Amino acid sequence: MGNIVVSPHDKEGQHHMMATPTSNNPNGGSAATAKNKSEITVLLLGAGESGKSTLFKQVQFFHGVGITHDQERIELIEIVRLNVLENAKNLVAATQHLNIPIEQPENRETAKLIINSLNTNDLEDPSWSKRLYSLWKDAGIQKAYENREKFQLYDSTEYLFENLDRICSDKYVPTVVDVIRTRTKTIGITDMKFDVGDGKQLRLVDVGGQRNERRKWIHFFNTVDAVVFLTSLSEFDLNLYEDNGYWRVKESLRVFNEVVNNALFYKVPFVLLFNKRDLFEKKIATKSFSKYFSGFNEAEEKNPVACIEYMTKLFLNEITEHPLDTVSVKTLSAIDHDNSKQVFEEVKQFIMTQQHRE
Amino acid sequence: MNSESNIRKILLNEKWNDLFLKFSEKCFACEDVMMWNAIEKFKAIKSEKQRRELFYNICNTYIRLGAPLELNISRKDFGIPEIMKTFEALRESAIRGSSGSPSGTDSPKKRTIFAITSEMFDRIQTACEHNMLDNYTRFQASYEKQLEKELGVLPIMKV
Repeated sequence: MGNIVVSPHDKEGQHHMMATPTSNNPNGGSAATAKNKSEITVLLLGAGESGKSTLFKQVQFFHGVGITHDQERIELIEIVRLNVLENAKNLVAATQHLNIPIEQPENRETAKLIINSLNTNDLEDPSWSKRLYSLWKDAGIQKAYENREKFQLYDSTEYLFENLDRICSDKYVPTVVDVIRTRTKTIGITDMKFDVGDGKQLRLVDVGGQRNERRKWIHFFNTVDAVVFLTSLSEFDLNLYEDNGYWRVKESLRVFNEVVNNALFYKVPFVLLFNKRDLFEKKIATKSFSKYFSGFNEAEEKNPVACIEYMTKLFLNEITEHPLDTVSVKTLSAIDHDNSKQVFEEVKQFIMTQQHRE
Repeated sequence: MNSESNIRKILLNEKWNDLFLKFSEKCFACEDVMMWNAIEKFKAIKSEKQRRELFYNICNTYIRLGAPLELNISRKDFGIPEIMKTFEALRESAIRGSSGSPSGTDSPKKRTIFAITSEMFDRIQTACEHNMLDNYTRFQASYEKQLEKELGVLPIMKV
């Protein structure tokens, strides 16, 4: 990995940062700012469920843009509860699909209600906390959960089921962690801006990752000053949401290739973030990594560092056009607040140093 | 009081529907609103011929892979497999066009055509509402006061 610039751990940014959400007009003034170096536009790119929006939300939170409106909290309650219902539905559907019976009769009753009639308003009733938790602990559901690579399920499933007693209550108020953990598929493009000192502003742009969403990325390619590409380390045993027969790693590599070798990005600093390191380390403890990569030494498959090194090579091999000395590679656990903060700070420093070089 | 019904309230109001559509366009996310509107129209159609035409156009514009306003939804849910089979069958018969024999007696590999009912897109319409939630939250924040005044969309905390 000799050519890879790993930016040094610098001290936490000294300047005070003010953040302004600008999401109601993501494309506003972009033409005018294309040459204006007082604004640095950073694109978050990557396939679906790679963690772009999770990192975006973390950056919002540590720049002081959090849940500001009470109304927003109400929408968030809805989103969290929809996540619970979708997870429950997907698990129940999977037991049918995988031919795993739900063992307890009362849990079978709960499953029926989930599929047929349960809606988010029902979850205000605390009795659902017990019922859903009992379903979650059912041996049949747990067996399906162990086989979750065979169907689509959010990473947040376990977290949400373990927090049902809070969520299923008319007093429920989503916490910051709930918001970070909740999966919302991003549709379209949003952005935020914040000061980074020296009279400069950083504009962070978040996009959707599924195939149809990628057609929209091009609108921002002209005005970009840096690209942060995310890929999920824990997707090695998963297929796509939008195309269930397609391996996620293959898709990520393909998208990475298209983006990193795009002529519009030759001159911009490029960061490759291997996200979900936390999930990945848990996953390789119980699942075979080498099964999915014929070129990988099986004896090393329980060693996360070796696995990540292998993944890094796989991705860097895709780079044919972009100068390697402006590519930086890092790992990330975007759901971890402190880790996100540290990694994003490093990313920011790398980008600004590269800008300086120009 | 939940945001799903808030979204529906906004979408069913002509002026707010238009405002939300414009907002969504700016966020490059107009396809869910446009599809939602198309489904409303679809549900109201009485003539079978018109319904079939709109069904075809909706599939062609929003649902088939590579469609100009392709929705971000899973292909194996929301009744999409059945919808696509019907769409493919319609497309095939359109290609065969006038040379084709009267329906029912033609090719042996004739595909199943599911009846085109007015409820056919209902599950997709709900999926569109879910897709809108994220952008709706931001829309809501920018029009909070007005929404409260005009539509009674209240920012009440239930604590």
